[in-house]
Amino acid sequence: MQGQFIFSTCAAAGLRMRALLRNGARGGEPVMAGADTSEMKVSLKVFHAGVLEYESASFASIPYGDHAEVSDDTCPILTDRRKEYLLIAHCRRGEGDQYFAQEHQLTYETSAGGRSTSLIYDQLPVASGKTNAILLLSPKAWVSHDVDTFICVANIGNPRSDGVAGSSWQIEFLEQSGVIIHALSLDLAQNGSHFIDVKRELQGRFELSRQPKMLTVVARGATVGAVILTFLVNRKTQAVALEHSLSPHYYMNGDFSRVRREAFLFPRPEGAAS
Amino acid sequence: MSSLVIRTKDVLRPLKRRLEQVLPRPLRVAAPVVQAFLGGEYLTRYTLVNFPSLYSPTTAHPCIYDIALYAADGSRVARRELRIAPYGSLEVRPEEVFGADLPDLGMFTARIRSASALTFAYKHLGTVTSHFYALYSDRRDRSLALVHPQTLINAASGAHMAWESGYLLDSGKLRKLVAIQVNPTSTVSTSSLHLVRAGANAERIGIRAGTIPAMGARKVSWDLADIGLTGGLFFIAANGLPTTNAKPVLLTHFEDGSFTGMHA
Repeated sequence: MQGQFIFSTCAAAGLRMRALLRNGARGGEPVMAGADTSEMKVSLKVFHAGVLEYESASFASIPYGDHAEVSDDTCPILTDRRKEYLLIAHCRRGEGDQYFAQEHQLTYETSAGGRSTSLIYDQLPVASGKTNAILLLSPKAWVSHDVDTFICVANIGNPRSDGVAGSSWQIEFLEQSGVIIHALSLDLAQNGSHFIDVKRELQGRFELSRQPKMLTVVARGATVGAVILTFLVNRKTQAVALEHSLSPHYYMNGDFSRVRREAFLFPRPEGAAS
Repeated sequence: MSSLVIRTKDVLRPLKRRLEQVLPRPLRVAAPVVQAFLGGEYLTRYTLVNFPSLYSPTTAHPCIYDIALYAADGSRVARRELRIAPYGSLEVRPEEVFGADLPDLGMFTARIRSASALTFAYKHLGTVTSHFYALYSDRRDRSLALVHPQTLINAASGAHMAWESGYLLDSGKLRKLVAIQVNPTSTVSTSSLHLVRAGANAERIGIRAGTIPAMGARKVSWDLADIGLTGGLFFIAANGLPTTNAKPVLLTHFEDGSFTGMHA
């Protein structure tokens, strides 16, 4: 069985990443009788802007119930904080190539130290190569004089038919009234991490105040796989919080082919950047 | 069931499907979604969004959220009805929506519904579940904790669950751990929380058993030095949860007194 855990260093947000790859029961559920409790073998690839810069075919062998760390302590290439790295940990347990669910943990520490934020999420199936439309709904962006929001898209993408590696995404920023205040078109590199600094994007378009104001960020793109994390940071106090974006499957169960088709008809404001 | 009834149902089924396609039907919605509420020294924000309009933008309509706030003892503080424009959202600040006299601890519920019963727009979305985040902070903006939706009202009981959190916490970098539990059911729930060092030694540390009133909440706190957790990784575990996904919200307090948090 296999799966792949996709994550980013997020150095651009001034953070130090530490990942704990887990081999155990998922979501706190008790180990079922007959469950596969064999060792998990991990290979690791590290990319920068789509270029493979480090590879270890046997990064770790993790006994059931244990974990292995991925950080600049165990993977020295990550000490280069000038580069934004995307990492893919390919995890294998037992026989066969089918997917197995396994949560892993990310922890990000502020560069000043002392503060950290953590998140666990599932590894993804190993990409079949089929490109799917992906929708991001992020009703959790705040900006103020001191508070900023970073959205990190770790895109494993796939080569487009024209031979250019990457994928095209449309991103809109909406204020609470529903008015689109800014829109972007981005071409995200395959195996690259892309940062959206919400405050910088809205500079001159949105009046900041002392009190944080909430916005919604909506993104539409096509890829074989992406992991999207949202960081909320108070630059003055060094407070940091992190959440992932839940797939629409978590909050609707209808005709997703039609949902994807129609969601891409979202109106674009006149004069939107492209 | 007699064969006549079965045959009649088989004959009528296509007609029923056809009628469902052409007749208006309001949004089909799941049970209300629950998030913990923290007052007193904390500030809490909720992020309601008209997401059906974003997934069906050519036929976008306003939506309504029915929201309510409950105190830790399960009593309802207030309820409100909020209308959100197409593509719109609303940052719910409980002290502005429910008034200033709020409890220190409780539970917030929200359920989205159609603003009009005569809309065809969202049938293809299927059953939708309210989708919103909670942001917890202190009153000096030194701390931020962002938490995704926690559980539904009256989800399956977790009374007999032996649950372990997937989070490994570093006791060397934390001073205090606070766990918030909500009980989104109509009956009193019993739950016992404890901490466990990661690794071979699975000894339970700091056991905190208690009851949570129906629609209520409880807060449990551990000073890590007091219970001998001063280094190494540990995790939180429970015997019994109010519902299967009613895992506690954790606030991890650092040495400087600030905190962040997560849905355990």
